[in-house]
Amino acid sequence: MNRTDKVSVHADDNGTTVVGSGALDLHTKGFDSAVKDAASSAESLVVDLRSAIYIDTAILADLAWAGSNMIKRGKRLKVILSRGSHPLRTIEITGLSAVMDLVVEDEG
Amino acid sequence: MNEFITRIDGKDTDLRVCREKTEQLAAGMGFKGNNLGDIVSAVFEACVNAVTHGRKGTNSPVTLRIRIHPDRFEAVVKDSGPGFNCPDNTPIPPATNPRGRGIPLMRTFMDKVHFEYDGGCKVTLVKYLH
Repeated sequence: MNRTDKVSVHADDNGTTVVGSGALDLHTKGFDSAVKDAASSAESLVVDLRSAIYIDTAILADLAWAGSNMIKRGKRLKVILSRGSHPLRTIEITGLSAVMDLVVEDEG
Repeated sequence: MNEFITRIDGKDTDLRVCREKTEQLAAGMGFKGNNLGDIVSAVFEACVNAVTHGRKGTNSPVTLRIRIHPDRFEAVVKDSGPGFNCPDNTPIPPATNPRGRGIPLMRTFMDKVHFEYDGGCKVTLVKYLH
């Protein structure tokens, strides 16, 4: 299982998808800026964490901010997670589904 | 090996080595799935807190000590900071709060979390093999 963190961003006129994989944390380059920039201006924002192994509270803070900002703009953040994953457990425990839509998928 | 000790200087590599070692040692004890994830995440948060809030200057030491017991995983993170007050029943903050989730998550993920001041802040995290 690859713990190396990686962030990729796919953006077009329809919206932005930020894909985070591995162990994501406060030192993960690009996640914070990608998520916050998109939450401020994109038509839609999807954060795909299906390949994330761990997320820390810095990542949770980024998601919480993005979720709240999307709501202020009349939109809704969508976060995709793998069933049974620790990121899903962490997000559910912290109640962040109040500001985002969680999509849970079985691991492929 | 029943004990692992390391100094954390705050670099991203230090914290990630701590996370990897925590995972390796806890997995070696038999923790897996979300129980393993709970330990890894809780210890990482404790280390990040110590580095972020518990260093008087950049040379102030932060140490992580992991002890493997027959029935439990134990991690102790110690810094030289002033300590803080975080009541045991501090809840996980609302989703709209930007921060404040680290310690409540530690308490959710671990069976025991104990803070004490001993010339610096020391946090002990324990998870039992069930």
